[in-house]
Amino acid sequence: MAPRYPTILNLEAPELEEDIGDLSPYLSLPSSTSSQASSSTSTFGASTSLAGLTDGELDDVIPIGSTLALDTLDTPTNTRFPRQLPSPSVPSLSNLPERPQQISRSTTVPETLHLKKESSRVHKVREELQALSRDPATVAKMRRWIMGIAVVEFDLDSGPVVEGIYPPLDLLPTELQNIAFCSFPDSMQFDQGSQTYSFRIREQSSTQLMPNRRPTEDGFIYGFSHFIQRRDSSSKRGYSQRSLVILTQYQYPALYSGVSNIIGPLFGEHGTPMLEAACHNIATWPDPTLGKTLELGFLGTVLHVEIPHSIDSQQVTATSSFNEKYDPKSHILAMSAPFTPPPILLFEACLPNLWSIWECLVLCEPILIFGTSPAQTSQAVWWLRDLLRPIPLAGDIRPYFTMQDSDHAQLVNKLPPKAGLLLGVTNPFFEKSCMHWPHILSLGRRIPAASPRQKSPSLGSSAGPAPGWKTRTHKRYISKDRVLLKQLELAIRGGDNARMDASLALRRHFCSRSTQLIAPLARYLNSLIPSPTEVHHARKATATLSTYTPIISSTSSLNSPAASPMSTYSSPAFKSSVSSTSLSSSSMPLHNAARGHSALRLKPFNTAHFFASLKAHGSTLPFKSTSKRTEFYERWLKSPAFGAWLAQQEQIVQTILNEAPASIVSTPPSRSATPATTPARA
Amino acid sequence: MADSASGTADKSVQVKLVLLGEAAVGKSSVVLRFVSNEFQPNKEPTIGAAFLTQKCRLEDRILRYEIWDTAGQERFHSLAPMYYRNAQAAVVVYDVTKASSLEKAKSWVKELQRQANPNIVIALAGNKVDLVQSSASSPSAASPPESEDEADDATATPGETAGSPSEPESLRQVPREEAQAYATEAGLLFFETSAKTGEGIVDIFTEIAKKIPIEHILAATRGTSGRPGASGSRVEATRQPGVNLEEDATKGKDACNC
Repeated sequence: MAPRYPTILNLEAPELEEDIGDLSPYLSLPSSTSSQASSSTSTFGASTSLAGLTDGELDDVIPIGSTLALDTLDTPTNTRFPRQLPSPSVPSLSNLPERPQQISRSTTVPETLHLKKESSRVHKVREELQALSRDPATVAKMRRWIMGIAVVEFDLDSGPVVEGIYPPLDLLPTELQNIAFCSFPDSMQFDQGSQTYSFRIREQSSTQLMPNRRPTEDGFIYGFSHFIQRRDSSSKRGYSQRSLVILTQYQYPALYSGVSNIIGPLFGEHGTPMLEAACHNIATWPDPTLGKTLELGFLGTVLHVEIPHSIDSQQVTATSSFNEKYDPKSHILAMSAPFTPPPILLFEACLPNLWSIWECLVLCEPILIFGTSPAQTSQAVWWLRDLLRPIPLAGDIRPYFTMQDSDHAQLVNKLPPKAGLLLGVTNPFFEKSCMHWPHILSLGRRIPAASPRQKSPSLGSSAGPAPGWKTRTHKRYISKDRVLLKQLELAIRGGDNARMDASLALRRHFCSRSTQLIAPLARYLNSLIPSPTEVHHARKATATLSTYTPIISSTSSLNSPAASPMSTYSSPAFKSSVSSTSLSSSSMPLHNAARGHSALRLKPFNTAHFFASLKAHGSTLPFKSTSKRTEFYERWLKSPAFGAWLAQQEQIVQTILNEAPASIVSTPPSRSATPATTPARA
Repeated sequence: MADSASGTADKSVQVKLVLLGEAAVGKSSVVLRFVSNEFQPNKEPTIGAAFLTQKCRLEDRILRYEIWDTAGQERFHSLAPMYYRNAQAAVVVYDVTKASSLEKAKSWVKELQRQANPNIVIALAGNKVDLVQSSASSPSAASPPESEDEADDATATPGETAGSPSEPESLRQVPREEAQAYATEAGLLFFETSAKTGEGIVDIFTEIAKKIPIEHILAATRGTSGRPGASGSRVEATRQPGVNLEEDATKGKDACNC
């Protein structure tokens, strides 16, 4: 696991975050956020270029990783900090943040100079990035793992701006804007400090034509941001704010958060040579081969990483792939959520509700996840996404989502939210715009009802929903595990080790429940696999037909009414989390497995037969009653997750069946051989 | 000695080792020789640092070197601390045909002794010794040099330009005795090496392995295994445990940890 460099900048203790979580660096008052949101969208046009500003006129350009800013670190002057920083969209030049110190040089310099100075510093990053070496072979090797590393700065006129990406990466203006806004917290977390978190933005469809760009795995770009904020008297805002963002095509949050945790602080210290060193370093890594456990050297640290067998397979902590007992401090399960701080802290206010939350998750209920920091929300979204496995992801997930995202109107509007949507937000504005959502999960510690949430008086009304779980519709089907619940409640009050152990126990518990959910379906599906004699006959028949008849997923022939969602998921193994609009994207891999003996495939799924099988064999999930069990599975069969899962199983079965003697199988299955063998877990 | 890693789940001792030294002295070539037993003339300059591993057996123990081969270019100098942080061993390389590279090596040693892990085992390696050996294979002077050609390094490997292979010893700018004396004084292991011929390479890593306080690493409490191996033990002067931090007190500061 990534070592923490002991830097005074790191203020990740949750206590610190909570007390100041309501303060926004650029959205000064929650009550005015909606109007600011709309005005900020109108300034987008200008945000990506500030090339018009001249530089080089000032000699005292602040160097990268400025020591000026560092100097102020040692002076613990005032624990309060300016509450109202200017908005990115409405740069108010007159509204200087109140400074704790007396008159400093910076406040006496005319404002125009501030602007020039800041823009020239920003230009410097851009120029430095352009000066770095970019050997095509190295870049290609690096891109096996990451797309690039972006530097995002705060520009007084435009708000967050992607200053540059190394190595150069072609992104569309919308993508750049989405990255820029997602790379900055939209609420103030601390006076000075840093924070690592992640986000997911949609890949825009026209990227095929761009030379410095390959299509992503699933239609999304994943960003792992390390945000640093320091006092900086040379900046108009009084702070320098910068994020370093790893952009990648893989949803490996534990891995890339670790990478971001290492490189973020180092970039703050050493500047752009760091990026060159990092990219060359990554270029020497072995291939990101599925199912491998790799040792990756990164900037003086060795990461021990288990790459999953597939995007939907569980990565268990009982793994033996590290040659020693799994240790969350030194081993990384690439697809898990980051394990620091212990994830159980996220759910402190809703421990008894975790079983309901899991049910909503597997039933593809949309959930608004509110936190005080992007670090919280992204950890939570990844945590939930991880618990879903081995059930495929059928909805959109956004570990950290802002109002400025170009998908905002599509995801948050007057309509009911899309199935399976997990939206991580920190801006209290979402509480209003998502009032009609069925479920809200607010992260963090429960606030005693007696004492209302500590707020600065100027902030007025509520800043976001109080921590806890709120649902309008959901009634639980399964029983809680009271022993585990007790254990969690104890651990919350314990030390970090106890919290970590409890977090891992919690993960094991729900991973196991997700597997149990699938078990009756897998059992039934087994009966749909053609028998050996049928296989034999089919092969005989097709042997005479020498052509491969391409068949696409074959789902439309199914009897089950629940099958309809599947027709939209032709390749869920690769395109695991598409919302219906982007399905036709041409980046989808070809359906190789569907070639060959067209006659050999899974027999149609019949809902009535399944329920008969369920009744006969039961389920290991502790349902409150058999009628609850039936209701639950009826709902699940209607969820898009079922459709995605069934399509996936069909593909696997078909691949296996047609992998027959002398047939043309180009892609061996990457997951377990038959649907019945979903990973057994204790 | 250094057999390549097998896939077994042997419980090996991890040793973090960093290579430091001026640009183009052959750090990457030393590592390549050790890890792959290969030699590539005209290797490209390293950017940042390369990471390699190599398992070795020392008597009944298995060591696994995690090697950080750093860039010699000055622009990467400030990154060095993150590579030598927590390192148990360092190989500081200079080029026997370039006197200034020993000075750079000395400044690296000073930096390590001041800022690295106090128990770090440091070895000094005078590389490219093949260029100064008269009896070496005759076509050596005509063959391509093993230098890492690079932009900000003005000095090409001398063997390339020197027309007469008759007097290779004249290429030597660092007398063996001088480097040996310095190493003894500073408490370093010392070797002259050739990544090209392989001379001295395995010996460095062997001697380091012997000197590493493995028990310390394993947090076991047996005494140090001070038994020197029979072969390749060139340096007897460095048997004292640990490095002496006091000896360099008079030398000037060479701050780098910015």
